Amino acid sequence: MSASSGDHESLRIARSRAGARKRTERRLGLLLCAPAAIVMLLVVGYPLLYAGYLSLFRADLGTPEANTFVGLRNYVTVLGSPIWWRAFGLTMFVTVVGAALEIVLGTLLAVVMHRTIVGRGLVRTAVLMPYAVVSVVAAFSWRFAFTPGVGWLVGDSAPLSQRWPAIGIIVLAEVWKSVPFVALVLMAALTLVPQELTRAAAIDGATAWQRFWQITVPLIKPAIMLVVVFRVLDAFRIFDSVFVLTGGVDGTASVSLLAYDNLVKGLDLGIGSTMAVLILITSAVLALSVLKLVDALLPGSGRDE
Amino acid sequence: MAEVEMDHLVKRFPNGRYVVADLSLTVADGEFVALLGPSGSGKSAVLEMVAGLEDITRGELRFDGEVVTETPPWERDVAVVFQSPALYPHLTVAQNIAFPLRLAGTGRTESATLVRETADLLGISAHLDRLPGTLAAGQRQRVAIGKTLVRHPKVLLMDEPVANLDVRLRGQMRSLIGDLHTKFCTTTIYVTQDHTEAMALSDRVVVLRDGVVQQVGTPTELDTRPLNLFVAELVGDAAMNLLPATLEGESVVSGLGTFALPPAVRRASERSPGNEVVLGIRPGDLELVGSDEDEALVVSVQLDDVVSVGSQTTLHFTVPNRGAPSPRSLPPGFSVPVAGTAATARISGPCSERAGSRVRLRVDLARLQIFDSGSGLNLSAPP
Amino acid sequence: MQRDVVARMGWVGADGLVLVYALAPMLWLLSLSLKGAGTLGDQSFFPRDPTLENYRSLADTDFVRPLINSLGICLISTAVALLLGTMAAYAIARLRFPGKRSIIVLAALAATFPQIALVIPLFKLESSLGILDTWLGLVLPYVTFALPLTIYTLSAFFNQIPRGLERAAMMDGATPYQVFRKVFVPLARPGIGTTAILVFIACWNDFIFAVSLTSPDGARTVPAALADFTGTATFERPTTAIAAAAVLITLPILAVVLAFQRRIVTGLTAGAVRG
Repeated sequence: MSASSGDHESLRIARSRAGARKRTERRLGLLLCAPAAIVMLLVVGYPLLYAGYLSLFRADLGTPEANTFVGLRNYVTVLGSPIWWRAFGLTMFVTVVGAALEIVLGTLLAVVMHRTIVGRGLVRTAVLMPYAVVSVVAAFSWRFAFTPGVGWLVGDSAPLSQRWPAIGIIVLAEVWKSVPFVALVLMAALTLVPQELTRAAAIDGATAWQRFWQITVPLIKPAIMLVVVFRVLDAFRIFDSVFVLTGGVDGTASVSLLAYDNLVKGLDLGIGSTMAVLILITSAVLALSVLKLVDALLPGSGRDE
Repeated sequence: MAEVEMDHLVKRFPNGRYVVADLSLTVADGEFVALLGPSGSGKSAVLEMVAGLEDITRGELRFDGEVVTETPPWERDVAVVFQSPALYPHLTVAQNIAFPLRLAGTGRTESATLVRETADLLGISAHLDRLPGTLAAGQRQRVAIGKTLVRHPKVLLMDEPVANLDVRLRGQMRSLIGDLHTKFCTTTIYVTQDHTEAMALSDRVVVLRDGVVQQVGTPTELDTRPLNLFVAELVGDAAMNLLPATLEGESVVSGLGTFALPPAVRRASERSPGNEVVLGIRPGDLELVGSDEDEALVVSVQLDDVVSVGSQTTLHFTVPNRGAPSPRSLPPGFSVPVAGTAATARISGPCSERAGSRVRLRVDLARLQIFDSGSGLNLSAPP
Repeated sequence: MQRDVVARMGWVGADGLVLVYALAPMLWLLSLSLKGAGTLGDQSFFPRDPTLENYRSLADTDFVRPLINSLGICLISTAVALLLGTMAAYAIARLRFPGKRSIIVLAALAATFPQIALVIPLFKLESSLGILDTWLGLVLPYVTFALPLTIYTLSAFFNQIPRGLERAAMMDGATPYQVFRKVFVPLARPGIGTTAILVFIACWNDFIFAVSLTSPDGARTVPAALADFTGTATFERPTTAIAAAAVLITLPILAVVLAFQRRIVTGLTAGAVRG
């Protein structure tokens, strides 16, 4: 064997050899992840495929013997229905307006919690309430607050029975509950920003806004992106507060609520599954476009390290 | 305890770099061997291969003749003391020391006895119930050593165990490690960058550079007969004076003076093509002599500085570059300053001389080292 | 000096706003729950004539069963999610193995998955398996949605444990599994506790699965029960009764938040900021 082929051989070994330690580690890694992965795959993956399958059938629980393959007819039905598009529009509206308000207010709240010189512990504890309170409970509080003759926020008008005021209250309930989460994550990111950087910039004559936008924001950008994507996707699946506040009447149903109604009231699994698939696709599109959008809007590169 | 045989060990990174190139070394049962080299020389890689923490790319590793190349670390019965003691922060000192015993399934009472004995030996009995986080650095390293002692492993590996300690503690810990080895005679491989540690503790020292063994020998051998310039520079109490010189006939000419060549060098120099060499003189091999002596071995220098540290005094002076080779012909890493080469002499006891005065130094001819300036090989060492 | 005082007053104002924001809705419910039939219509934020009557009447309603359901289902789900999640989180944080990325992606997908997309097929599946309207029927989706939270939060905790500890443990003779079980699990205990709180809150919060997969007489949990709560008297408006029930189920959460405020904040942000 020539020297160079021996050289080559040892290089191949260096790249491919996995000693006993690495092999055992690999096996353990797979073994430890397997149960969680299997549960997630089974409970998310399998029903998902099942939903895709069901969406191609007429699957009415009321008349199970009449179930037949209908191809894409369910999709045509749903996509041709003004009810679907109204729910879709409302959900998108709540998602966009809600997420935008949450990010702005969340950032403000994060700065207050991060910088306040009085009662920091009190503020941080209080802020956990909206996060921890059951969303149905919070929704009831808003509903009663806007119930004519009972609520402290209304007189005798009934905003919850008018479409746009009701949508406003839905957004309010959603924003109220989610701002603390946004603020806490951003605050944690803020504490990791080295103070020397902003101080140095201040000495260089940067205004407070310049310091925030050009130094702090790029540094906490990964956290912002994560929180925005998470909030958008979470807002898109809005269900609890709409259910409690309006029950989805008068054109205030979200897509989740609409799909639910098809299941529980309509007992129509085919149409429900079709909506489920459409919601899922929209979710994926939303996630990708939000990532792109945030990356483009904010200064700094999207990936840290 | 066991004999460790490293048989043509090779370690390569997937990027192709050789970390250890073809290392063969047998550490006898009960022997204390130091791996000495600068950072990046591959000494830690050797240790990790013996520990089983890193794969062996090629070659074979045997403990007492049994091949363990593929044995996972937890089955090798090898203990390691790391540079920064890796203790379990949630366990007390006693629980930390007992941890290997717990894994081995040792009984509670037996384990408690062993822990107590070990703690007594290390002088940490008073801290058994404390958490590692509350201990000082030296105490933490003692606990880490205690963890290895309780198990009586086949092989004990130490990876710069005192490097993170301050100077005073370092000395204490070094003698503790020496004492423990005398007491238990565990086969030990000790990785260090510090030659004094290596020389003080080991039976043999292995000098590594870029993954290649430079010399294996007892501390005395390394000190008196370094095989090349690299070893000569690394080993020794004080850095060896290295002076550019030329071989002329039967003598060596340097800025310090002209000296007759020892017979061995004369023979070697006949084989060596060039006549440009590096003359190595240990600071301790220069002796301060009175003005009445006048022989060929005495040179006169002007002192730049005199530094006295209690029992020892270091004289600093500059050797002019007379007859020096062009810098180009020197081995990589050696440069010749224009003014000359800084050199030192070390004498015992206090010294009345001051900077600026001229003194006379006698050179111990038998201990002169002459290195080929091209290859760095020691011409005065037996081939 | 002067500027200090002004700044202080400014912060007190800002803090006050935050407190009102955070607490007003819950105080409003508390106030409602203390109002009697006579003062319900006064639209005042504070009860003028507080009474505990609403709480007393709760005892006559069927509110205990959902409470037991909620507690049981959430405790089981939390335990299972933590058991599976701790294992996966450790592997993701500290071990090298093929397919790690896919697991992280799978968890991210499960975390952001629209639940309604799951409800419909799950409804069909569970009814054919006969576990619709049972504890198990809710534990399954709860564990699934809790797993990503567990994995992200806990792997952030495992990541904080100094590197090299597993090497030391291996040299002490520990197999990789023992390194996990005997070194890392005990070390991550505070993190596991924190994660348990977060997971429990998340399960306790769920409404969509509860309302879709259970019936009022079966495994219905508190949030869903609250939504179809009617009170004792048929013609009495259930407002005050709902308020009382809502306050009651919020109290344990309030206690947890007050007791573990710091740890909840750490846990909530651990995965997002460092992960």
